[in-house]
Amino acid sequence: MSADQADDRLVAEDVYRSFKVTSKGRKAVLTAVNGVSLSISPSETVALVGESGSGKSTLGRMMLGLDQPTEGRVLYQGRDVNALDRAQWRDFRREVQVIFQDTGSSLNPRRSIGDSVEMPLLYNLGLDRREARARVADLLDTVGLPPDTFINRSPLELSGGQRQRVSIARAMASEPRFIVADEAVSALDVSVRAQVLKVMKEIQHSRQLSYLFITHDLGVVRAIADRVVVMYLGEIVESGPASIVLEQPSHPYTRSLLAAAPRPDPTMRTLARAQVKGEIPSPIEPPLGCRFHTRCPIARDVCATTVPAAVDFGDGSLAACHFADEVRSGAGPWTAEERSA
Amino acid sequence: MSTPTLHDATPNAEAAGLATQENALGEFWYRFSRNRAAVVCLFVVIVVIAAALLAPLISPYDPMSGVGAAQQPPGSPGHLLGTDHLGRDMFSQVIHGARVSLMVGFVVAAFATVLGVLIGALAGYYGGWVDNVLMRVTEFFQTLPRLVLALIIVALFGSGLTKLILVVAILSWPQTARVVRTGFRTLRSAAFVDAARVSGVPSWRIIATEILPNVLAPVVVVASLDVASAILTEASLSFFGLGDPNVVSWGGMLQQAQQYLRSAWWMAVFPGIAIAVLVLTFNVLGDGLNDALNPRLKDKD
Amino acid sequence: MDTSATGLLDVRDLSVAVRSRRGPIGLVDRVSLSIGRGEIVGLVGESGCGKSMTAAAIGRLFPTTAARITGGEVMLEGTGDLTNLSDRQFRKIRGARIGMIFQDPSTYLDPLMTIGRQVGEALQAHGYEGSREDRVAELLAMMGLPDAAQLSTRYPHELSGGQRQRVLIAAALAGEPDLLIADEPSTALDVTVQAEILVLLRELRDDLGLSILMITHDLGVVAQMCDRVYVMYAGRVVEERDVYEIFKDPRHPYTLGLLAGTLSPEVRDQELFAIPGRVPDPRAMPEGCRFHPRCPLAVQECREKEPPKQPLGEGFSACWKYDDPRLPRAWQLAEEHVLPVGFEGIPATSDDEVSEP
Repeated sequence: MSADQADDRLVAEDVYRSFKVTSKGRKAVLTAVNGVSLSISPSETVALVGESGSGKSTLGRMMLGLDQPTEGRVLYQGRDVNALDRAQWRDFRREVQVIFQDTGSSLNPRRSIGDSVEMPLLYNLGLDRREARARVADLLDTVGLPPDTFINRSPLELSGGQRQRVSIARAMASEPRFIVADEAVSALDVSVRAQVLKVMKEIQHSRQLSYLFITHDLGVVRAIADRVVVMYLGEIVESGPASIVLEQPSHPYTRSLLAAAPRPDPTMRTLARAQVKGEIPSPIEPPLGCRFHTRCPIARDVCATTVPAAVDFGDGSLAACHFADEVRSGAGPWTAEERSA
Repeated sequence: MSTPTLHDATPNAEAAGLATQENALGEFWYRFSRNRAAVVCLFVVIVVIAAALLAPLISPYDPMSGVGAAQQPPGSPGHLLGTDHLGRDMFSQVIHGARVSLMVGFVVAAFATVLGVLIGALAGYYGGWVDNVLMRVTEFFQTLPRLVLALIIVALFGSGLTKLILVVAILSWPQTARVVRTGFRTLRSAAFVDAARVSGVPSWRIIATEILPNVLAPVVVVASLDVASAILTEASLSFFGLGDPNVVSWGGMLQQAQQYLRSAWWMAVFPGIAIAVLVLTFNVLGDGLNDALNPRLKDKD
Repeated sequence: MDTSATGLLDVRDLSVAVRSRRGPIGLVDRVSLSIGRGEIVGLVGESGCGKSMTAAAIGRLFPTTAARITGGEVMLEGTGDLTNLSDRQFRKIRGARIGMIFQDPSTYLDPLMTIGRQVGEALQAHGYEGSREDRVAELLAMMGLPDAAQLSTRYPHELSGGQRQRVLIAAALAGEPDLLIADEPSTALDVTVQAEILVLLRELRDDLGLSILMITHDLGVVAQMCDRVYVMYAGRVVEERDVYEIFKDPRHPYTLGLLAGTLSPEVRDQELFAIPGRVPDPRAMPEGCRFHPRCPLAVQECREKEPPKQPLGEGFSACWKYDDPRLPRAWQLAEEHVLPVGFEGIPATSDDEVSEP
């Protein structure tokens, strides 16, 4: 890989992020991200998967420069994002954008759609008002919202799908190269979700965009991601090409997530209790050894004592499990059928 | 108190959504107008403001000089509300008194709002030590016994309308600051604020144009209550003789009426009613605004 | 068809409207559905289709005071028409005969009351005699929450989302109702927790003979949980089928579209399919079949006349073209521009779902 290519990536280099919190009346440290490395290449779509509390959104915020790592660095074009000079920061701010989950708060309710999309044009690109206005119309058009009807509307008058298109238009306004999409389609209905994903894919092709797609929906991951990164309690437990991770998962957590996703097929009633036991533990006192061992259906003694090293399968995929080979070959009680068999 | 419009991911979006109207002002008026009492109060406020503004034109006599026999009862010819112990027309005095009360009310509310918004915004947006320091100061002012302190200050530095307004204002802003701080704390991590940061918008603009407009609803409500309590405080101070002797005020009228309660009850009753009505009006108005600006509260019953 | 006659719940021609400044707006239009004992029935559709309103009307828990039932009846076995009951009488039915759970349990739990007390109060409300503490522990254990003694002393905010949902189910079942209305009960939860809650509901059905009306937008949940499915669109039921049939041989273009839009982690090279157009604004519902402006098979008849319920096995499809040979491939043909997709009748300014103020 040439130096130039490496320069073009957005990279998290062994980043940690901890927060001081008060838990049960005592001060404690919550480590949301615990030593994660991740890189996104141009035109690539990386899906970041995990339950709430896995640290995936915190990692996304650090990649966006909205939050700073406690340790480690986020690099853009080879430079530490948190040590950029003014001009470099302006470039970074423009080129790395975000689309948030639409919970109704991703757009300022007091601003018109046009004003929201205009902001990055005025500040990130430094256009004057007239130029900006003209471009807002184009942007709304790109995401399938007729500008005449929408430019002066309030976000409160829009549906979730429409608001999400506005968010996309706003992110596109800065002419970015990377977009962090944090649960960008999770709140949407199936058919609206597909419309939004289509728009995002089209823009990616026409503009050579990269996405970091933070989501818990494995169906969406399958439809759009080149690469999948699975996080659990602040650490990456598995990563690799989407087809490999989703078809031959090598970490029990990934397997559990896949088994828990309700299949839209009544002839395969695979949904069963306790693929994983209980719920994600608190990141304030994470389990020793493998962090997943308290919920893992195949945990053995070694898992409670020794942190597993990442196993490299040589096909681009890695899994941090003592028994990754076994898991990939399909051993273990993953589905109801397998258990009853 | 947070802004109600932001968190709309409730399970039953379908139904509530139909209340969406084309423009916010129309919607606001629609909700506000369903509270009859508040509408009546709004009308009363408008009438009182008009009366105060037009006082020199509509009051039949000079309120400061005796124009008739002393202590004429209400309904006497030419003196609808009677006259006081110096023969001054009560009706003219009540109308002129509204000027002082309203001015104190509005100026105090404006001052308290500006200061409260500034302090609340900084504390809420930046958090950390800024928040700690500002909130300790706020708490300090909030725990001061309002009337006692006002009495002490006026007693020490002398009376006068300006001083009085300053004193009451300094004691009134903490409530606004707290409300604004809460709003800013909630919204500083809202997605649209992060989106503004990512759009390159500088912090001061985010505070002023992204967050502030979204926390103004409760501020308006608090301001309305501030008006009411400032009017009451002014009246109390004047009643204790600490008002401005050179202007007619309801509190001052009450004070003078004390000695004549047996012989001229109306001297106490009319300013008393005026104070009660205006204070009540602004309180009900505050309630009405609160309901109209926070529709969720009503729907949940 | 006989199940509806002997069913536990029999909803006939239920209509719901909300008041607005410009007159009433119909959200649910003559919906009929039945639920047999021990049956899990799915009610699916996108936001704004009226499924939550239907459920709210059955349980009389409207999200806004502006909504009310404008027609039809809700027959509950042994009680009769619920729409005739006063609010006071209805409160006895709710809990004793019908339990309800929702997407966001924290809205329905009192933050200042311990878990034990909340479930205890639900018991008391239904006149439970005997040791309330024991029964609370029993209920919590039944919901897969062991160590009830310790959990009972906790407050809602100390619990995880999954635990809160279990507590809400425990409270809903305290009065031993026959029917549980579950409105998107697992949507807000992580996928592993969702799986557990769904399995729990299935077990409750198996063990207690509970009937469940499952309101969801997730066809995966439907496939895994339900015996029978009602598909709603724009306030009407457009298809009712046995769960196996509806996935194998859907007979309404809307159902087909929903299925085509479902993404699965196992399937390679999935098309991102979306039904073109938007759900109509309830203030301006299309004439005839309400789906016709988005339908590739729509003909003149569809635009003018409301389609009758064409019987199919135990269920029906409310579509004029339900037996059109092109129906199974309708959306592919539309994407290939063999079939037209009209957008007429939908003002460009309307929302694709109804948004909230």
